[in-house]
Amino acid sequence: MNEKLTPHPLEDVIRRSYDVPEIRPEFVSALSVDLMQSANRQIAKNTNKNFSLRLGLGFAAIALLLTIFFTQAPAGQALAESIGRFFKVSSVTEIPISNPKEAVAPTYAPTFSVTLVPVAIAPLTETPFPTLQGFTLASSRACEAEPFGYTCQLALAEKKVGYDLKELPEDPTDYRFEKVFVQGNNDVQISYERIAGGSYLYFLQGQGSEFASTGTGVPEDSIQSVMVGDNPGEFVAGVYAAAPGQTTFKWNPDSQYSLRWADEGRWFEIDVHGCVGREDLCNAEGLIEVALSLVDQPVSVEGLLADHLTSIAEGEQISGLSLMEPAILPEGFVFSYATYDADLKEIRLNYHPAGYDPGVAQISFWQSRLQNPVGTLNEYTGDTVEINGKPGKYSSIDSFTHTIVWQSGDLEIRMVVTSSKLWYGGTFTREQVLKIARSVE
Amino acid sequence: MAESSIPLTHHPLRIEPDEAQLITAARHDLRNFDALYKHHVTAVFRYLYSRTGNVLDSEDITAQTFLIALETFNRFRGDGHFRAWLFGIARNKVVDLYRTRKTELPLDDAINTPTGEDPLLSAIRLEQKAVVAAIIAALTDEEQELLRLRYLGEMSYREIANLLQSNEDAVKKTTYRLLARIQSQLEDPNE
Repeated sequence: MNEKLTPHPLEDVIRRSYDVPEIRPEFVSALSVDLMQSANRQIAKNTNKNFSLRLGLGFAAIALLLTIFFTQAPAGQALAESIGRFFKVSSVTEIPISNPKEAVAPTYAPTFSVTLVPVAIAPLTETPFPTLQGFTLASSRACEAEPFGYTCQLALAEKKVGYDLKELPEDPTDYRFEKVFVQGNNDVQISYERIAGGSYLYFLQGQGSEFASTGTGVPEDSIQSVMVGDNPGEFVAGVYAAAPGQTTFKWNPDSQYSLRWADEGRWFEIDVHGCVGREDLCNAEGLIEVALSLVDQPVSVEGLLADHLTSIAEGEQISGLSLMEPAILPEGFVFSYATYDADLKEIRLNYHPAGYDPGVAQISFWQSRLQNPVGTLNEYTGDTVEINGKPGKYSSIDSFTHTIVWQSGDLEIRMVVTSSKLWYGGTFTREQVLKIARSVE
Repeated sequence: MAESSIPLTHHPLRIEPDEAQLITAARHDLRNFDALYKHHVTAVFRYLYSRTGNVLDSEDITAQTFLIALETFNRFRGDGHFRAWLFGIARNKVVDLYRTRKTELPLDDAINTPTGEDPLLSAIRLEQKAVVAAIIAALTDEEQELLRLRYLGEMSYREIANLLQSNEDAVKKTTYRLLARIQSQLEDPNE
């Protein structure tokens, strides 16, 4: 309300005259659960809808030019497809683009100047999550501690589908768990994203022999028969894609890698989009290795993961440093993750715009114990600037890339701002970069 | 986009989020809608109870209201009138209920005795409540709705004006006049 309700006896009597009972806490909690589930369904739906948009930056050179043909044939087009063993087989080599609006071509994001705001939204993600009936104590505790964490989300999915899901033993190296979707027919998709952005890994499974209908048919000669342990399977590298201005999607034999197989009345699929830093996942052998590693119960990871610290507190714990955080960030930016380099004894805090791949724009703060208070800054080139009374060095390549180094207390701090002109478009001015640096406390 | 005019402040990391922040957070991740829900659910329920006089119906419509709000949240324009938008949904659902049952739902006239209160004071309060309830029941539908939105929905004049597609000043004046009339009738029941 924009104005306070004036405490007035008559207004109070009017309020009380309706005799409205107190809202029941159990109703509020139950509706909260319903809303959360509905939100998850919405997100899953939107994510599936946007599946084709999640092009890995690893093939940015290609993605710059390509639109991926992903889901159903455009209206009115009957693709000549037949049911293969695991993949649908398409007999066409080109698919006409009937409605260019349906095909989202990656183009340059509109350029804009970022807006700086005080950091304030992050605590909202700590939404309390009610304990659910039918859960094990461990699952309930996991949901209380981390409602959108892997353990809780898997438990929710298993409760919903009614069968024990196969799982990766742990997050793949360089990747982190993202989400679990339960789709129609109780198919389940577990999504992972590369921690630093640019690539995605999707593990799908379901009961019976009907594979989830993600993707259209693939050319017969793109299918490679493989064995996943004792079970036959198929591997496909490629995707139908079109460059801007083209009127057809053509088969592009890379960018996307899929393995499908069946085992004991269940089907499985692993898809990798983009191969940044993990080229080993982008061939049949790599995906088979992942498939053979599947377990019923994941490895319990104890301790902190140096390449994926999920909070400032974890960063302080692992580094022993009293870390400094920015109090001002561009609008929409949130803490993403931190990493720790034990050899250099250096921590890196990363912030990126929520809702974007972490690779599209990032502000990173490297912090380490100051070794040489006098001479360190001389190692850097750039303009001498002042940060909270201390000298620093600032340099910039363009409005999308800035670096600033300074000392604060017993720490040396390096702040690097990178923004993708193609994928994000946000530009930073020198003054904005300095303001962010001066807000670090 | 020009740089924000929001003042840059220090140590703002743990401020209480306002509604704009809640909306921004929900836009970033729909699961943050829960915070918006918690922020508004009591007012919505209280308003709906005043319309239906029934806890189960009120809960049912409250649930429908928030589920619809969540599902259509991407259509909310974010012009600062989230509560007005929310109550628009709630009011439509009440109309649906009336239409389904084809009956006028009475204002609940059950008045409970507050516990732990001086019996004489309690009796005075009860009588006062009953009189006010009777006065309100005699108002026009539009006037009753205005009071419900203002005092149970906890809406600002601007939000009410936005919901009713009226003018903020007009809403404010109408409310003041209503209060004056009720006050006057309380002081002189024969008026």
